[in-house]
Amino acid sequence: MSESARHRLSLVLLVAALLLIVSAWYYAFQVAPTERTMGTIQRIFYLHLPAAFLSFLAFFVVFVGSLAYLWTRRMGWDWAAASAAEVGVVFCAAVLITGPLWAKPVWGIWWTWDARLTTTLILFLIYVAYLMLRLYVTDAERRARLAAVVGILGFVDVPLVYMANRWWRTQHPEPVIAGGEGSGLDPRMWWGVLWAFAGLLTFAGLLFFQRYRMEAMRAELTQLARRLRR
Amino acid sequence: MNPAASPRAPSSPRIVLRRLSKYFERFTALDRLDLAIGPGEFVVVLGRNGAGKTTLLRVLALLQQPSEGELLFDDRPADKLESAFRRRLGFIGHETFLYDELTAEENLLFHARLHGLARARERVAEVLAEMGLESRATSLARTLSRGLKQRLTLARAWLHQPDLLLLDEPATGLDAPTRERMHAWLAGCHRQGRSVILSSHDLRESLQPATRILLLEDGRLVFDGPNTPEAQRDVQARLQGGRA
Amino acid sequence: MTSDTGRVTLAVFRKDLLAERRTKEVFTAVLLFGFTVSVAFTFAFEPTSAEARKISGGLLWLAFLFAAVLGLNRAFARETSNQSLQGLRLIPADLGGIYLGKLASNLLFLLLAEIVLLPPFGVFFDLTLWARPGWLLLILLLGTWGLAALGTMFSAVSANTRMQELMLPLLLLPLTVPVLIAAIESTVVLLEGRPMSEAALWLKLLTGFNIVFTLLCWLLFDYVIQE
Repeated sequence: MSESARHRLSLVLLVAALLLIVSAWYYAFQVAPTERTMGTIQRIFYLHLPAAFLSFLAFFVVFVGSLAYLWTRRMGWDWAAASAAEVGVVFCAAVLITGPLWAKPVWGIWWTWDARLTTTLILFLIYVAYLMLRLYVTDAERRARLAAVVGILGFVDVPLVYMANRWWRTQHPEPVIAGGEGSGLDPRMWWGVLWAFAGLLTFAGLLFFQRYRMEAMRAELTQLARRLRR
Repeated sequence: MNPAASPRAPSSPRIVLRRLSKYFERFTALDRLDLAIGPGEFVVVLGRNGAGKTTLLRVLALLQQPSEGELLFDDRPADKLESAFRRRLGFIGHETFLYDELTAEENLLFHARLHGLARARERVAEVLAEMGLESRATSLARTLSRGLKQRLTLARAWLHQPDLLLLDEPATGLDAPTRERMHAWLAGCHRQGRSVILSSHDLRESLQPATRILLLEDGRLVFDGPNTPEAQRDVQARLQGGRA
Repeated sequence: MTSDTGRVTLAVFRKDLLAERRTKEVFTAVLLFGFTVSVAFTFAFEPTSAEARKISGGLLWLAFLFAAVLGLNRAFARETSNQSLQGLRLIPADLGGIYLGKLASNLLFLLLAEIVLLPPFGVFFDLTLWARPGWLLLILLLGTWGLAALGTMFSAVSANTRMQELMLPLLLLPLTVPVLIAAIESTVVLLEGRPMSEAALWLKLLTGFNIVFTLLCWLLFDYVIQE
């Protein structure tokens, strides 16, 4: 992709993301109906749910990128994994912040140790560890290799973390249970979710794209510096 | 000391490097090397510190993967070789690869078992005798002097009687008589038909058995020729000259 | 599993055993640190209270976890001192056997230290640990296996980073959450005298976890020790 084409794509993504997010915001606050029991704070759900889904999608990309790197040894896959991990961590953080913000007014406590939220927390920690690993390995090839191994192990772990937390929950039920967010949603609310999801997905795509380019440029810089030193 | 003859005739591989490069981030350790080493050669790789000798030997030992270019053993690409091929290689690096808390004998027995050698115990005893280490067989590796450790490392590399010996500055820290003995032993290996590739940063060592001299400078091959007095002089001059 | 892998696994296991018999470093480190942590817990939680007895299952496994990190790092340090691990890459066999051998030896040393740690722990928290020793040992085995499976792998990974030993707990703790939960829950069932059928789900989870990750790590180990 040429330089100008890349710039145009970034611009398109940015504008699209802004439009979608702003309109989703409007929808969430003005158009969508107020939830019966939870009130206005429930609108944070339009950020919370898509962010959760996107973070999971991002970590799936890390998994695929890790496998592909080990299989093909093409650095592009490593760049994709690194970019996806960072995007995933950001959205994970959004979930972890919006969760308590929602829980406190509604259920009176900051944190509910329900399976989904806890799994998100552990997921967050796993991918922070992944990013720290990347930070502390200097050699690009070694970094790609080790990160790929951790990326694979981390992703395989996630369903096990979820299962463990789920079963633990049934053994230690909390006085309040974070009710199924997807159960019995008004169709107008579903539109809000989809719209918000589209906006955040575009935004995630933009972040991913930019980050990927950064990694590619870093590799190019290393190669140039190497040629200069010869 | 002389290497005991092995039951089967050694068949050293033919090695080809094509535009082989190895990078470590911004540092180029090996720069587009083109090299062909036939079977049964005794090659000395010379060069100053940082010239790329260690990297070259490690790449040949399959311990390091090249960043670019090709490495072929008997016309087969190195990355496609089956793990059994490593039986034909013997490598000595800067590190001893020994376990300090194990005795000389135990270290060798461990490697013999890893290689799947039949009659491991007897083989270990043989090699200990060959290297003159019988008296220290039950000493902890930690307690051995530098010279003895080097002999033990050599023993480890020799256990499976490889066809190709790769030695990275094996003479460092050894006294003159030990060095002499080692070179004589390597010459013996060469006479049996094995290939020997050893590196050094110093020409003072006796290079009689060497058939070929390579000189590396900043990862590039700047000299490649048979081992003659003239070649030795040229290389010596190049090594010492050019210092800022 | 080829015979090659079996041979390598056995050779590595025997070598680790020999080294440990001679130096006793890993066992001692795990035991002492586990003991110290247990003592620290008695200060944090009034040990004879009813509440403390309820959480003692969790405290036990926390002590095991922290001590295991220490032990795993120490065990792997043996392979890096003379670059011995790199020397193992010269062998004409599949390198996955190295992982399996080290996993087996780490598992053994950790288990032994944990078993020795149990009596003092039981004394501190006034627990009856030995009512059902078979089940107790099974839980210990499965839980420690999970910790060792990922721990052996990650100790090799962290040795390759600038943070060295510090990287291991960072990686290990989040990923072994399922092991911790399952082990703690099973232990609590055991300590509270409830029928072990209540822990069946947890033990199955542990077994599944161990099989999946032992296999995965065995397959991926090559990539970790390459250069």
